[in-house]
Amino acid sequence: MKRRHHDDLLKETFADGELDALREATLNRGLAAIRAKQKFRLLRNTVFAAAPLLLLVAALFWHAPIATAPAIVAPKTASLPSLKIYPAANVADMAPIPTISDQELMALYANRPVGLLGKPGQQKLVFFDQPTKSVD
Amino acid sequence: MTTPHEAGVSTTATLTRRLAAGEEEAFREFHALYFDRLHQFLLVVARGQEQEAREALQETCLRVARHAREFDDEKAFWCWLKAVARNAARDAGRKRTRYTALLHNFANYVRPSAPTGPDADDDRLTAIIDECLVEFASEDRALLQEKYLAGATVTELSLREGLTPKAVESRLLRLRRELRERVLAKLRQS
Repeated sequence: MKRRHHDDLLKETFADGELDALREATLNRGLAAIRAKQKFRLLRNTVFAAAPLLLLVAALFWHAPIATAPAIVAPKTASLPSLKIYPAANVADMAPIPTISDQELMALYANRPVGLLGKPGQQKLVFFDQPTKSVD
Repeated sequence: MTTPHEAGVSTTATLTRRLAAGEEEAFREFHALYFDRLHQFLLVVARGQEQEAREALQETCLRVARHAREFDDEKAFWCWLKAVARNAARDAGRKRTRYTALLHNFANYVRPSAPTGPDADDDRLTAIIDECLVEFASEDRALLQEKYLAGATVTELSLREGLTPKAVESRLLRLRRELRERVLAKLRQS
């Protein structure tokens, strides 16, 4: 109560132009800080709101099956029936490399004991009439 | 000091909730209600060093805008504000030269300690004002007391004193300046 009686006296005793300028400056700086805080909150909320969606998209991409052809185990050059070797300089001029199915691959070695081993996409062509020398 | 509740603007709980939520209007209300009170408190904390008090006040207002939180009652809010203001004053003090700080600490150590406690700094300025008023000449003291403690208007005082209102205002201005110097001097000595 006593303090309230002195309040006007204190206020007017210490009031001057410099204090008025400080009053305005602190108000403006405080408001600027409030606005910066609001912007930060908006950004943070946006990130939090978007995070589950981004995680979902990332998870979908992560688990999507990648269609790849089975790895062909190239036999030794000497044992190939007829394999045309292209010089490296001509590779760019070549037509696209044809893809063959598993059955067509097996048909190439119809007179030899061969087999495809491994999971789809990571299979190896193995010749059973040779000691284990399969090539990736 | 007019509290938010007394001012009828909003209760402390509402005001602090809005402040914490980052409402600009709430900060304007807070600033209007607490700027002078914080300034007076910091004058005591800074022992009458006006420049230090003003730097700390600027930092205090900024910290309130950034870190305001909700309080249920005015007393708790004011206690928190005082803690923020003290920290701001201390941090501002750290920036000054080590030599000055050393001298200051030594002076604080040597001089008899001022009353301490949760409300010591709150009441200190009021007590000093009373001490200073006693030191004024009786007619000057009466004029100040009638104007500021009894709430008389300048017109009423001019009629009572047989002076023009302008003369009364001029006399009040001179007395306030004198009072200010005396208060600051006492704070520096405390």
